[in-house]
Amino acid sequence: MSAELENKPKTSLSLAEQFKLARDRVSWTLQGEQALYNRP
Amino acid sequence: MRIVINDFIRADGIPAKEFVKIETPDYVEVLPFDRTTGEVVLICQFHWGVGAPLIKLPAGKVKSGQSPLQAARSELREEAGVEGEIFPLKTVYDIPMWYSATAHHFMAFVDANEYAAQRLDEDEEIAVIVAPIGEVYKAIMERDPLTSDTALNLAVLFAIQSGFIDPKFLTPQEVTPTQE
Repeated sequence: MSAELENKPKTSLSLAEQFKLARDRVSWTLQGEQALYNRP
Repeated sequence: MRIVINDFIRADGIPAKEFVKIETPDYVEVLPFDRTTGEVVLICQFHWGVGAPLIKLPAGKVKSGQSPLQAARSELREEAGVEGEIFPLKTVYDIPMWYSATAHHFMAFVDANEYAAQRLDEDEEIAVIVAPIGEVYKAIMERDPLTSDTALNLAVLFAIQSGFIDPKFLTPQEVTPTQE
């Protein structure tokens, strides 16, 4: 399925159901973190 | 973006030190609303500040040489895949203790079924959500965490208060399939 079709909104679903699908598609995983400033 | 640490002298003469300020470009947020179907076009995007995806409005920074209105039109098309007539709702400071930026909120009248492919930047990953405004409004009024994004709350309430949304759409309707 093309990215365009895959991302077409599924308007037959409720807000919560669409969010669950969307959340799975756009979740990121933290790979690293660097503190620019640490207030004592 | 620039992160700076400011020292101040308070009004009473006492030094106040090490206040972090985050300088970012001004940005726009757009509430796309279909006046025929009563649907809003929202997006879902990962937010690294809170480490989770959120439902929010199409939004983005005002690029150099752009007006806020031009930026709103671009972000609406690029992130949500829709186009339409745009009206200003309100300009606000968002978290003004830390951020220097101004946030321009807009309303757009769109055809939610005239969805075109997004034009995302390389570092963007965004899903589109189309839902009845009544369902979103109900979630906001019931403090549903689904609608925890500040701009989404403000824009929906501003749009209702400004008369941009027919009150008949604010009662949650049965979800019916529209053009796929």
